[in-house]
Amino acid sequence: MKWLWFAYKNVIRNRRRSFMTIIITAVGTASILISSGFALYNYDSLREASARKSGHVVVAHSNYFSQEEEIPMEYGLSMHQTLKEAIEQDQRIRMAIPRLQFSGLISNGDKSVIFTGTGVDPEREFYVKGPFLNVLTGKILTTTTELTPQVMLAKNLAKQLNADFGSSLTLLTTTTDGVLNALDVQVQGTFSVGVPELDKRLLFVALPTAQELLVTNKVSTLSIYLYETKETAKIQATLAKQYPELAMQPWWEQAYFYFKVKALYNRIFGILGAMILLIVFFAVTNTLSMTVVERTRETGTLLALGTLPRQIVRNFMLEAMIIALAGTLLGMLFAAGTSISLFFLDIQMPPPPGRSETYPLYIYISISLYSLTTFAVIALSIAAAWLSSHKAANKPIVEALKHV
Amino acid sequence: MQFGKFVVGALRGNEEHIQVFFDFTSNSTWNPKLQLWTCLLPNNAFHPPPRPFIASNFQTTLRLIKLRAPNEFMGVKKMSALLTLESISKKYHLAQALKSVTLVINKGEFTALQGPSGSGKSTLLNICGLLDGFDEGNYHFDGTDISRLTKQELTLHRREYLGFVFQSFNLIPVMTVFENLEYPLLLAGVKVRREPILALLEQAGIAKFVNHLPDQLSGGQQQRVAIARALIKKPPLIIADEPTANLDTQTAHHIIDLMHALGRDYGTTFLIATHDERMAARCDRTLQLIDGELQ
Repeated sequence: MKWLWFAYKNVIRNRRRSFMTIIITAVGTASILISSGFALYNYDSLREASARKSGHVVVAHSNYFSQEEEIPMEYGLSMHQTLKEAIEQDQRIRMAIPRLQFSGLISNGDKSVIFTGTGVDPEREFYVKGPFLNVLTGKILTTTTELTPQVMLAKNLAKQLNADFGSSLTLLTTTTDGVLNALDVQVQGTFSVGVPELDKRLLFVALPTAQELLVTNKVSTLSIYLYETKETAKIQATLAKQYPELAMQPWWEQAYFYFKVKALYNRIFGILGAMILLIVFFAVTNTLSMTVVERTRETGTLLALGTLPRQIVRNFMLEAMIIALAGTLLGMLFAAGTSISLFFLDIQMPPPPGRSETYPLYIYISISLYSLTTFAVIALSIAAAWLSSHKAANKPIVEALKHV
Repeated sequence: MQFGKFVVGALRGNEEHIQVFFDFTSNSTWNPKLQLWTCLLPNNAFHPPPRPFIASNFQTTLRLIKLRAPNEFMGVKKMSALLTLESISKKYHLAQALKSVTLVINKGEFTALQGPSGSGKSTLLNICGLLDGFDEGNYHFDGTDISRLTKQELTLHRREYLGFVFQSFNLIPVMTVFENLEYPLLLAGVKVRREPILALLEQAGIAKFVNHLPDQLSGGQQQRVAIARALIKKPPLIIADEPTANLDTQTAHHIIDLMHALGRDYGTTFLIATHDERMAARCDRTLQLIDGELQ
């Protein structure tokens, strides 16, 4: 403790210089924490969006992911209801949702447009999608008993068909027998997934409607939703053991964007972080180098009194540690303050490339990120202290004592 | 034949080869350096100065069990040398700073080292204080052959056995007076108690400045702190380089008195480089160094 006290006294010896170094360290730390916190928020959002879109684990026919179907629903799941009930026995699983993927033409009588449709269990589907499905007009689908089946159109598809809530349209597709089938539907609402290209094609109908249109009782996939995303690999392994005849895919194999964005952000923020750490390193090195030179005579005295060179270096390291601790503490406070403020300020980020919707600017506060950054800044500062002082500590004592 | 607890045996003889074997009969720690001491002397030569055998800090009696050429054994004088320098030479680049300096400084002695600027006083002081090395010769500090010590051992030796008083005081500016005295004790791993430090400061007449920083003190007060710092761990030797040079006459006088008083109380040996004739006059002996040679 006494050595720490002496180090503290040396730090405050040149207040202005130490303060400037602490500020540089604080700004560097805050920059790393804010940029990395933003990246973490993006990773988390993308991960949740990906998982909510596809499900944490997608269960399908063994050939579904590997081969192309020659006729619709060739590789569909027929016993999906039984399978769903069995899978949902696992307490870690929130729910299993059947989906039926199909495509065809949608017409308003005057104009026909290609669509990509999904037959869904409305109650469950819209529950799990939550904030990741942006309903623009009308309502979400219901498990309808009405005569006219309902459809939800993506906003650009609705725009192409001049359709809005209540409009009547016709879906045309190929059945599982390979013949054309048509079904009249009524627009229940419009939505956006935030990607303009997808908003031109997507639509949702209730699963029974899709099955009626395709004349099948199968579904394409069963999407498993978990309580905890981190359980995905374990659950997938359990399911694969239980149902070896089926194929499984975790959410990350379906999330093309997630890994691309993560790789890009890792690169960008990695380089940024490295540059910031380098600046902090040079700032601390500069400060301590000046201090070491100024205290050469004092170092000589300490060596004469019997201080070992490594103890001299240790004292400078303690000073660097105090500067780094003060800097990181300030930086953490600033970064945490910024993160908390953003939760209340509702600042929107512009839409990312290829998307049409803004998203809120949040910065995550991660204990591991804060700990790692603090550790890195302190370690670098200590390394800077070693670099600055080890030569001076091993200088001949007589020379050091003569230093003016 | 018992020589006493601390022994310096000055041997000379007319034989070419005198071997003295000592038997360590007690339960003390075996010191291989003292097991066999052989001195080679020129025939009939009186060895000036006598090559000493030093056994210090040795908590036992020594018994001479075998002596070849006993007729030439001149006896053992009961005295204790702290520093023994034999033919020490030191060169800086082309300049010969010290030329074969031979010197014995006994325990408790106040020795003044005088000489004109550039005569090698500081070099000799630095070598005696283990701050600098030498090119030729032998240097024994309290029985330890200094040339055999590693850099780290030299540092530890300085820590344990030496105190320094510098011309410019060299107190640590961020430390209070108390902390400046506490520092050598912390280094030595001694549990620091407040009372002995305050007692020493009281003796040095600066107790009321215990919580002051050095730059809040006058030159004389700072030098008093420096002397107290040098003495706090009671080292056998204090090296003082012009301790009164930066002080006015009256303060210098007080500092000389203080060094004498504390030196006596603590049984410390002082080696003082000084131009101050008053200080030299107060010392047990004065060594004159001119052009790197002891006169």
